[in-house]
Amino acid sequence: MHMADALISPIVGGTMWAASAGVAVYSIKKIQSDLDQKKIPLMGVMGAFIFAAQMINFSIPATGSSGHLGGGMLLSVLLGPYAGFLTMASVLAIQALFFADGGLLAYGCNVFNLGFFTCFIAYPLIYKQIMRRGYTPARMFGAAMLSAIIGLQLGAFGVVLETLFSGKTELPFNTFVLLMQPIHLAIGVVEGLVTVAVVGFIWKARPEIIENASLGKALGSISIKKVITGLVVVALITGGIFSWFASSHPDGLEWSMFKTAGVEELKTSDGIHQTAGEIQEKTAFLPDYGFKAAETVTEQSAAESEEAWPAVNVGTSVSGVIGGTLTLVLACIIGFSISIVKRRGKVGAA
Amino acid sequence: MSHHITEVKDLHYIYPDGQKALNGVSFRIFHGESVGIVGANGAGKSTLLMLLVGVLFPSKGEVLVGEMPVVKKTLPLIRQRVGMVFQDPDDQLFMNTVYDDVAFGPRNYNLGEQEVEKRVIQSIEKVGIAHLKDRAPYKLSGGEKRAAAIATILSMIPDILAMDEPSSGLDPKSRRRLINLLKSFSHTKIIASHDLDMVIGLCERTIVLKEGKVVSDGPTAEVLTNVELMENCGLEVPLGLQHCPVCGAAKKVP
Amino acid sequence: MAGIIQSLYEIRFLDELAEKRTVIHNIHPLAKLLTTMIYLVVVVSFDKYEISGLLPLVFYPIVVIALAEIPLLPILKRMLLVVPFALGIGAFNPIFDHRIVFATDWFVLTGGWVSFFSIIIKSILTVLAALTVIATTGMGRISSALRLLRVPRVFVLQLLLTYRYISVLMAEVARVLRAYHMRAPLHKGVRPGAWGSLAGNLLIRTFERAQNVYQAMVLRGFTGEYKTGSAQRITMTDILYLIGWTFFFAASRLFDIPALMGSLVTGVVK
Repeated sequence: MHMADALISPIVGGTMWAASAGVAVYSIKKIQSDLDQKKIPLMGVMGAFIFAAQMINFSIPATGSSGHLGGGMLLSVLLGPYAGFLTMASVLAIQALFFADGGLLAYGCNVFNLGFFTCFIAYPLIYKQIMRRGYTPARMFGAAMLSAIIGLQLGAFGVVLETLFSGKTELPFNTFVLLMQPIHLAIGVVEGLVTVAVVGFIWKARPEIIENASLGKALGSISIKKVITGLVVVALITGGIFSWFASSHPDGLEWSMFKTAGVEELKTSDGIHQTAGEIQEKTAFLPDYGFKAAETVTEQSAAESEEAWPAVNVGTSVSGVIGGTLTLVLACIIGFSISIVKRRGKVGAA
Repeated sequence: MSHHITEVKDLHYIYPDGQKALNGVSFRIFHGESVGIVGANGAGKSTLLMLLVGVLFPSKGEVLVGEMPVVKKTLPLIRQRVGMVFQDPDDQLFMNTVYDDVAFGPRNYNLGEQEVEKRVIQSIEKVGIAHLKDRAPYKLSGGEKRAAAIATILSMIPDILAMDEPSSGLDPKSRRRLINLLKSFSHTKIIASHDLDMVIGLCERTIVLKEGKVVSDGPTAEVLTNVELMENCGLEVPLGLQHCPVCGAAKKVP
Repeated sequence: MAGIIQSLYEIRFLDELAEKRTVIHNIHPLAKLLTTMIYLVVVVSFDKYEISGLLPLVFYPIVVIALAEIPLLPILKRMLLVVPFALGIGAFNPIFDHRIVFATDWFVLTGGWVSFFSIIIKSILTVLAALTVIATTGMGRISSALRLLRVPRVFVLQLLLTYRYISVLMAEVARVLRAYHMRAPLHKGVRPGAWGSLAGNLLIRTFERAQNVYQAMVLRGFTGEYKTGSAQRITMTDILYLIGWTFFFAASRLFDIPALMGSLVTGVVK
């Protein structure tokens, strides 16, 4: 579920960076006023634990496959939402830097998708509410499962929205959603089950660990209002940005459809395309919005295509191809020369 | 010099689950003494050390370091006087380079960066790991980690060193190096250990704990050669003093 | 379990690379961080159909990798592991975007393929750039760059602690898994019955370790504020590095350099 830089636009990346940074600063303020310095080494070591625990293969009996721990829910339950969020942020930072698991520009998106929804929505609004009346194994099962599943669904939906708003993919909204949500439902179930198993074990062995976490101020009605207000603000901002985007950068599609005289089907790769088109028609529920609807194909000559999509700069023209090749060759030459010069320098010095 | 006496008066400590860890422990340790604290597992050695530095507070009795009682208010001063070396060096080396770990203490005392550097270099040279200054802790061997952990305490220039199982997990050479190193320290040393041979080599005085009580407190040579006492306390006479494993002849204490 | 050992190895590998002393390594971490972020923004700001304009930007990772003496093969391996995920989404582009961009009798190129190819290039560029950050900078210096950017010390300390204890905890997990697999040789992963106790025991030990680390910190005078040493000084070289690369990125963004070069060549040929 980690998003890569290549699918993001700078605006989406920047917005989510700002959003995540804001939540992080708020969380830091909250744990500082907690006066609980013990949290700092705990957050550090727990981050390492989550990182390592993500490598455990939790095998699922009937299917022959296995799931892994994301950790957002477990961290919230054990550390509280603020410390949990910050810990998740460091785990994601190390994954991005050392493993390129999630881009650096997309870091804000990933922290938001995997941290905010679990720690600040699923945990306080679902888990804590259900557990408010006290711990029983059944209640914990329901709370953990529901919050894990919903948290991950929200995160997956976040991925869909961020990718679509970035405009680098052609996947229509419906298809994307149909792709992402079911997969992450399964992932959420596994996450929930593992969380249940671990929390249940801890409760039996060392209940004080969980009791201490829940001693943090429970989100009362005031905080819920703040959360909802925050969400509305975010929605308005992203909606505004999106519409600006949509209007000032006319989609190549709308442009071309405006100019098209007729419509013809393309011969190749139609099987998938047709099925997708049919699904799209049957499930479309935001048909007039600017989401990329799967379109039928227009066939035009190359000259017209240059005209219709001024933004397209494929360099199909001869000079473009020559220039592109030259660039790559030059880059390789420079790269090799530098390493050869370095090696000569070392041999000379030896 | 009375300001360097470590004193423990009728110390009691009860764990949160009700178990009694210390049941009335009293002793006095003088400046420059090297004292070994021995006992079976669960006898209360580690608990005692933690009470000395104020990590735990007694349910009854008091701890005095240089006539200063160990209470919440005096903790910053106590911790400057008493340096504690943990059993697991990984718990004590929590920074990403040896330098940063050894510098952690002095930096917290707001000494200027120049003074910090001086102290760090002094400490790591004293323990013999100057060449590991910028090494990451996961790259250190067991012995190097132990040395680094000691350096992190030395840089705070304590008067008293409290050590919990310092030789555990060390290979023979590292262990020998550790013993020689500790011998060279003029600090007051309070060493809790199972390594009775090290205690004989290092500590002129030994306190034996059994079930939270002091059962014996005297010169190491007398205490550790007392076969009956050792057996009673779940210990045995140090291997170095037992019958020769090769020819079976009895050994004599020098 | 092989995954754990592999991951540990990769972290150590990058860490060791960061300790080299080359021209690039000596550049101030903040300059490198900012240059990389600007690079990423520029690459990603290209239109979805852009290909030739992106190509000159490959100079940045290539030059940095060469100057910093980073071995290419491991980086490429890691890149090949990561890039498919973005490509997975991008692979839908040819399916949904059938606008014809270029057609001959025997070959048709649709917009979908063009944008897919663009995503491939962008993936390669961004992943290479990201990997060179740690390989030339190392966690310690990155954290000092973060502090210069006014990232709260609490977070920086927490990040450093997470990084520090990753190898310790991964070793513990490896040990536990080894013990598990020795008594359950036919299982491939951990069976549900053991989920709670395996992870739970590890977790409890983790809590105890955190307790010990906290005590160790407090015994050395920690009161909640992370006090660090002095930061590396910013020199003219660092500023020139940042400005120089930024100009190059801007030029690549504003002008289609390959097209210009190409027309130069075709012009000369004519």
